[in-house]
Amino acid sequence: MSTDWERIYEATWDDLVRFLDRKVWDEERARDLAQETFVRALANDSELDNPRGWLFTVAGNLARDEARATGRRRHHLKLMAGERRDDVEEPTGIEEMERTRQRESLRTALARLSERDRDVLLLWDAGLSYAEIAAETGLAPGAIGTTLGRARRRLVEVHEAETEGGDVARS
Amino acid sequence: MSHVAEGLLHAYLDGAVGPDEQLEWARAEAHLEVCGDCRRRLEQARELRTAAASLLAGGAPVMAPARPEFASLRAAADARRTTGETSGPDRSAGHWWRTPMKLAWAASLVMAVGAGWIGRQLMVEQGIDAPRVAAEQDAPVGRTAVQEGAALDDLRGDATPEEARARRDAAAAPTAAETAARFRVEAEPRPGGPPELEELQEKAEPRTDADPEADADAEAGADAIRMQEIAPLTAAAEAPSGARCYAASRAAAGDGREAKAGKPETLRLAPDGTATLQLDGRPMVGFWRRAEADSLHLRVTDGQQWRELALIEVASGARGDAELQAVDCP
Repeated sequence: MSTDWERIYEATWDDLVRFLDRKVWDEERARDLAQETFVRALANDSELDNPRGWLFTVAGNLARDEARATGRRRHHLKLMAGERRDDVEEPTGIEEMERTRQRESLRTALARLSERDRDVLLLWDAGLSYAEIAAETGLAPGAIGTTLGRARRRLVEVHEAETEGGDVARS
Repeated sequence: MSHVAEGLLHAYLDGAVGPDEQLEWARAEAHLEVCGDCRRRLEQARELRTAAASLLAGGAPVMAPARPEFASLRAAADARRTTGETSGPDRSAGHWWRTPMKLAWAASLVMAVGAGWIGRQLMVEQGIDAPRVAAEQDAPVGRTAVQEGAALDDLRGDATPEEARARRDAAAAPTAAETAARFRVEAEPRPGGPPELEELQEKAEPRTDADPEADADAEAGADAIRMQEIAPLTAAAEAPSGARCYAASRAAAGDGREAKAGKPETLRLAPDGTATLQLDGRPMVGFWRRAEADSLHLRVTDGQQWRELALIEVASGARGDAELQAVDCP
């Protein structure tokens, strides 16, 4: 196998995890799925024309399956322990709150995009070229700029509307 | 020439004007020289591009978590090849979801024996998800021996396909006792770290209902967390947003046993990691995280004090009087 997976792994891991996290919205699961993606790649003997594109295709499929499985899963919880904590510094909470707020805000905005626009935007965000995105999505290479432009505009507009709405609701 | 197409402006800004579009772009450049509207549109597209990139970067972890060792992935892939589970983008191999569970174990092992797991150190310092990290960082013995052995076997690839599958099944559906055992180990004190669940161990109340498996477990380790006998939840309904909501049942409302530790009266787990709940009559907000594949950690505050709650997910059919019921999210 001539594909240098280790180099691809070094270069792609962070992007792949982020791409998956934007799909499953669970950082732990995103890392698990990224691992699964790479293990599949490594266990696959066949030569790939575009290893990076292959990774994102598999990751996208895994994320889609994950979303379906999550919808079906049943959760049962037991409280094991609960205790007061006095050693938590407030700024930590605030930073985490802010991070969580941004995450939720992005998630809401992305959910308002069409699936195709969202996919193109996330693939671009993951560092794929127009040619790679075209190969992934089946769009013509010349259509990627148009799709990205629309997706960016929509994302920003939805986010602005949400933010203004939130401010109104809070005041 | 007509005005420059929006898509071409974005392709230009992305450095992605293709060979086929060079001529079109040359014309566009000439047009931009003379068309103020298009120059403004180019600037707007530039701002849009920056704003979108900034939004997409929002909510990322403060520090990128460490990635698993490449060698461990290679080993897992080799092991899988020998068990004939190779699959490509067609994801023809079923039950893929069990595999990440195994990989999670494998990764934990690598982290435990490896040179350190500094990526999440910040979170350890902040106390976030600390029990899990502590186990990964300081305790190569932090997994039950059977599971550790199984993961190693899987990594080495010397498990038979049947064994490997059986272990994955076991890992995918741990019994409550297994979960308790795992949780207990994770709660072992971490030298120099923030005070963790060992405090909770002392304060948590003993179970009132005997569970043979859990008893055997408790005997195995004197410092076991005593699980409160709090009922399993019926199926949690997921809101369209992906949130899960629970509410205390009426039968449990008059039960004062849990007053010491605190028990959620209502609980909402949002997929983005935020938790809102009613605890001891007070509204609280905070965060929830997976401490393990099947256990959750809640850290919540009412604005004055913080509380930590540990919850485990158990298979359906577990015993116990219903205390929290799944409800539709409001």
